[in-house]
Amino acid sequence: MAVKNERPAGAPEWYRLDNSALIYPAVMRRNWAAMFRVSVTLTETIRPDVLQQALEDTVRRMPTFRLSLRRGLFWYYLDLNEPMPRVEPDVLNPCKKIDKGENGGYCFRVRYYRERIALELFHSISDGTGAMVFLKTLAARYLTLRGHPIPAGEGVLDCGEEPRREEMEDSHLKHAHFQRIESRRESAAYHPAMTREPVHTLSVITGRMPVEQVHERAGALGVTINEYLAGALCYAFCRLQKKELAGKKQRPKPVKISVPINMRSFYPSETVRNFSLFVNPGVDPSYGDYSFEETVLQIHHFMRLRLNEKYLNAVLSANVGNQKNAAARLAPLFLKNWAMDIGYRLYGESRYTVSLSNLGVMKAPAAMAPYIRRFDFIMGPPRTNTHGSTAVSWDGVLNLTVASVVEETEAERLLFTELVRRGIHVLVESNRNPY
Amino acid sequence: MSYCVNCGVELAPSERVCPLCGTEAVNPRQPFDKAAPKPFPARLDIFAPTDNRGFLALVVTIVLCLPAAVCLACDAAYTHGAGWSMLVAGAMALLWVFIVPAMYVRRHAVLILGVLDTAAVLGYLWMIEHFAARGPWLVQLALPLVLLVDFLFAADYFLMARAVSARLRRAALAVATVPLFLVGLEVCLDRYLDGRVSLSWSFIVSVPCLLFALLLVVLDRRERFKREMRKRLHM
Repeated sequence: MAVKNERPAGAPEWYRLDNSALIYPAVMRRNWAAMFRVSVTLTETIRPDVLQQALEDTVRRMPTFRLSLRRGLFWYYLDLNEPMPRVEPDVLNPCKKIDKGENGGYCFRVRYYRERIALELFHSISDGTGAMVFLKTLAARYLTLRGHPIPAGEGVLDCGEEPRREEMEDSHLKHAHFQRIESRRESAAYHPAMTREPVHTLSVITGRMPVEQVHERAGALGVTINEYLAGALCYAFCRLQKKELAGKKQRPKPVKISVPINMRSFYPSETVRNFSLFVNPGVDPSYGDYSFEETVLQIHHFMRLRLNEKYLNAVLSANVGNQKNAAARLAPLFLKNWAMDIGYRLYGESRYTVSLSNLGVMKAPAAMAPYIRRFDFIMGPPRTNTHGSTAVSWDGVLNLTVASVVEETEAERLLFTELVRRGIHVLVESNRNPY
Repeated sequence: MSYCVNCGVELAPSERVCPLCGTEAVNPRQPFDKAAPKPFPARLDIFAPTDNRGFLALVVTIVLCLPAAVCLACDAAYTHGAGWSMLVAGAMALLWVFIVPAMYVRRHAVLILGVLDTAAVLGYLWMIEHFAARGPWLVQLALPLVLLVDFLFAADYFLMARAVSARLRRAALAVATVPLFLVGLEVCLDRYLDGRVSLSWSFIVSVPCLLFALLLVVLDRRERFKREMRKRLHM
C-alpha cells in the first residue's frame, strides 16, 4: 500500500532539470532511457522489510530523489512524489527503462538479491557520484536498522538531519562563467558492426582485478588507473576494428572513449544531482597501428591537455549557454525535444565508440566498512552504441564491468585477455550463463 | 578455481563456460557446481506490451474531423445549408470506417470488417445520390457492383483461408477472380445502359486472365522452378 509522505522543510515542491539532465528525457525512447546502476554487496542476506524502511528514511533525507519526471509546456520538470517507492527483487537484465507508472512514477528503483542492494537510476536525477551517495546512505541506514549504527561521513548522509540547499543546487548554472564557449564539434567514431540482442537484454561481464596490479602497470607508463583502463579499452576496440576491416579497402575510423569527468573535483560543489562533463579521448588508426603503450599514452596526453578548470568551464559554458538561449527557452517542448534529438545524433553517441565511467576507490565510514564486501557499477544499454563500461574499486579489488546489447563478446574478450597478457589477474563473472 | 584455457582469465564459480569465448571450464579437481550462487537471479524484466491503438484512433479521428468540420462550417456560412460539404464529411466518415475498426478487428473477423466497409461504401454512394447526382444509377449500377465486389472478396478470402495455402495457387485464384468481376461489370453496364445483356469485351479480357491463372497453377507444381525463382527474386 502506498504510504503518504510529507515534504521535508526547505525542499522545493518541484525542480528544474539540471543542465546535464536536460538531454536525457528528450532522447528517451519507448524502450530506452539513459539508465545506470550502482550496487553494494553486504556481508548478510538482505531483509526486504528492513530495506523498505531504510529506503523510506533515505528518500525523506534526499528529496532530489523523491521526484517524478513531468512534461511542462517549455521544459520537462521534476515533481515531488507523494507515495513512497517500493523495493523489489533483482532481475537478470538490469537497467531496463522504468515504464510509465512503474514504481509510483519514481525515476529510480531499488532492488535486492541475496546480500546485494542495487540502485537503478534514470540519469536525469543524478550522476554516478550522487547515486553512490544515495546508495551508501541507504546501506548505512539499513545497517543501522539491523543494529549496526553507522555514523555520517565519507559520502554517507545522516537521515536524521534536514536536507541542505547545497545538495539540491544545479551546480552547472552556479559555476559556468562564460569567459569562453567551446565548440563540441568532433569527428564520428568507430562503432562495431555486431548483432543486437532483443530490446530488454543487457549482457553484463565483470572483470575483478587487484587494484595494486593495475596501479603498478599504470604507474610503469606514468599514467593514472583511469587512463590505463581507457587505453586498454581503446586498444581492444582498435583491434576489433582491424579484424572487421581485414581484407577490405576501407579507411578505419577513430576509436574514442567517452570519459565522464566529475566536476566536483574542480569546483566546491556538494550537489547530489548531476554535475559531470564528458571528454572523448582516443586514437585514429588511419594514421597507422598504435601499440598498447602508444594508445595508453595518447589517452594520457589528451586527458592532461583537457582536464583543467578553464577548458572544462568553456565546455560547461557552452552547455549552459544553450539552455539559457532566449529562442531555446521560448520554444515549446516538442520542438526542443526534436532539436535535442538531432543534437544527440550529431554530438552524442555517434562521437564515441564506448564510454568508460570510473567512480574510483569507494570510501565508507570505518564502522560500515566491515559490512561491505563489494561495490558494483553498471552502465545501462546505450541507445545506438553497443557497449558501455564502468569501473569501481573497493577493498583492493577493481571491478571493471562491460555492459553490452550485442550477442558477440569479442570486445570484452580482447579487453580482458590484454589485461591478463599484461600480468593482471582477472576473475570474470557475468549474467550470460543460463540457469 | 577454474581458468579459461583460451582467454587466461579466472572464472567465477558461477560460470560453467567462459563468458568471453564460450569455452567450457573443465576442471576435474573442481567440477562446476550448479548450486554456486549466481551473480544475478533468473527473473527477466521484460517490457510490458504497449497498446497505442486508442491514441492512434484518436489522432485519426481528429485529423479526419478537422476538414469535415471546416467544410461544413464554410458551407453553412456561404450557402446557409448543407450541400457539397456533406460529401466531404461523408468521405471523411468513410475513411474513418476503413481505418479505425481495422485497428481493433482480429484476423478471423475480417469478414465482419468487409461487411462494415461495404455498408459504409453504400452509405456514401447514397449520400452522393441524395446530395449531388440523383438518378437510378445507385440501384441499377452501383449497388450490384459493390455487392459483386464484396462477394468476390469474401469468396477469395474464404477459399484462401480454408482451402488454398500455396502462394502461387492463391495468386492464381486472385487472377481467376478477375474474369468473374469483368463479366459481372459488363452485365451491370449493359442492363443499365441498354436494358439487355450481350457479353463481348469481358470475354476477350477474361481469356488471358484464365490462361495466366492456369499457368500459375502449372508452375506451382514445378518445385525446381519455384526454388530457382525464390533464389533469384528473394528480397
